[in-house]
Amino acid sequence: MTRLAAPPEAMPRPKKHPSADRPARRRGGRRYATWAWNALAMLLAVVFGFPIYWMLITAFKTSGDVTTITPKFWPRHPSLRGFAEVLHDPIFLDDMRNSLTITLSAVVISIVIGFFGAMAIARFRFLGRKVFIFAVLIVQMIPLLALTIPMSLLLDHAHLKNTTTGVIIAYLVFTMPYTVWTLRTFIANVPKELDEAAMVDGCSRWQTFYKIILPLVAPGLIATGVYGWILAWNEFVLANTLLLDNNKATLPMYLLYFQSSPVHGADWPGLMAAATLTSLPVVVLFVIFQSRISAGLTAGAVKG
Amino acid sequence: MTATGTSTGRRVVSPRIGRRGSGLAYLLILPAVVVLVGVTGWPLYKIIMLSLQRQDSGKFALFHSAGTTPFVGLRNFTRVLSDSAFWTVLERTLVFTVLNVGLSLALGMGVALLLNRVSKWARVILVAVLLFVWAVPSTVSTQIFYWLFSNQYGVVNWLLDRVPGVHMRGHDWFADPHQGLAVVTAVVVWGAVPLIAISLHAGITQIPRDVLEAARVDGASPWQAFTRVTLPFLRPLLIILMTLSVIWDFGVFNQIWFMRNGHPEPGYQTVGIYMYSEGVGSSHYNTGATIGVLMMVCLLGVMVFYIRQLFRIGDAE
Repeated sequence: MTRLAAPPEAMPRPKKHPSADRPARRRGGRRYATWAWNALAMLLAVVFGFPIYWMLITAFKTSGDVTTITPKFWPRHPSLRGFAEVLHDPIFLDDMRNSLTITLSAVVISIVIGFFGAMAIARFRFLGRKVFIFAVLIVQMIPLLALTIPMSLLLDHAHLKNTTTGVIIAYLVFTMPYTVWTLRTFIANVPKELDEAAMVDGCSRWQTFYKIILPLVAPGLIATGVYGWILAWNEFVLANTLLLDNNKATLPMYLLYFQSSPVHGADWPGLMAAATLTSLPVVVLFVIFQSRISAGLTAGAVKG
Repeated sequence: MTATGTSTGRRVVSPRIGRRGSGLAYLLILPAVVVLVGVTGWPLYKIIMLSLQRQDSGKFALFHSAGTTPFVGLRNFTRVLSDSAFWTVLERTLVFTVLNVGLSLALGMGVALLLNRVSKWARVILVAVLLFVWAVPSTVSTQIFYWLFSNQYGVVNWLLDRVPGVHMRGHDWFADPHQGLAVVTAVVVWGAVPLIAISLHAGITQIPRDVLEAARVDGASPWQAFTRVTLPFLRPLLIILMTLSVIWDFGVFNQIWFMRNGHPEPGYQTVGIYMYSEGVGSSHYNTGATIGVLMMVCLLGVMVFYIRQLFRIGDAE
């Protein structure tokens, strides 16, 4: 920046402007100001990070270390008892298996169907294209909560209530439109000239899909899949409505069951261990893929 | 208008692709259309039908003998709308939404500006923390706050009790719904700030340096530079973040549901919770569906606004 400001002819300004000698003074002041801002940023980092720290630290505490009048900011007797308790609970293991099955199925189905749909709107002009785009967009805006009642009745009617399959189908409501929409952005970023060149060289339409476009949007597919994974893994309302048995539930449901069941009372280390285990797969994936995910989320907005 | 402009432009460039692949295009979107109709279109149709049928708690009657649940026009709506409970809930939801969206955006903007101003190492640390916060599921974050604000061994009570003259030991935050909803607000804002701050920060870095420099040279105060240069640049992004926040906060569910152990008291009910308790909890499917339809009507304006914005930016093209 300073180098940019140096050439005098680059900044034609009135000679006796009162602020003419300000930049120099300012720079010194700015350095102190930067330290003040850095300190504020660190304070914010502590405030924002504390809840997560507290979850982890509680999970590693013993019950005795939790129930003290003055909180222990570092576990005196670090223990894995909370984790052991949760991991030895057959319901937790069932629910984890259910969460995995449901999430993985919903994401894979959405990616396959979504990729085709995204191809269509990114590469073709056809009658009804705008209508389809509009439908995909509006569906993402519909509050999922409102759909729980009809969804539950319809799946009940199809004898799919209280089944994993039913929940997988229901989860397509929010994973599929999102996948179409995000993949469309990734496919649109692949120059059309590549398809055309491949077709001139004798590729068929289908071959251009999986030989040219698919490898190029592979990172996009992964990012989209990861975000779909996060959405499905965290979903609570639909699962809570559709699944009735404890051994058919998902992990978010397990958390509430644990929190509200009198057996576990105020078992904070156990609860925080369950919370940690539930968020772990999501947090790890998110932090790795965040830049791609948020690029997809706000691509249009930043493009301005 | 720009949308049609570009579409005709592209059609001129590659007319071959446009016309030849039409059939294939329909084949490609077929599965997606089937899913959209099956899991969204059908339930939408069903929820509207339910809202027009007589209140009947028997699932059997609703499906297997449609004749026994006659259509009653808008009677469900007049019943829900003439119930003062609905209006109390709606008012609470609106206040909650305005407060949460406002706080999230203001704090998010503050953090974004801060990120732009601090040294690199500080930015890396703060962004890393925000990413972790962003990633935490809302169910988990609610449980963490539930524990932080616990009356007996909660850290927050202990911390506030340190302040001279404040006695918070054993204070129950959830006895009074207003205080309880304040804790819910803390969870919601905590979870919303990362997305807003990081997106806005990305937006700020896109502002050409020389424009801000020029504003400064011309004697603009930092505040003027912010309102006259930064804000107009961020407008499209801000609008999208605001609409998304409105939709999310208006339909807030997990944070309240978990904070109240799955049994929110009347004072904690927002529209989403109210609908769920009526429709799913008490099996008043028709009443629940009616509230659900009203909820969607409330959000319709916001949705249309959001989609128009997407089309205007040309992203929907």
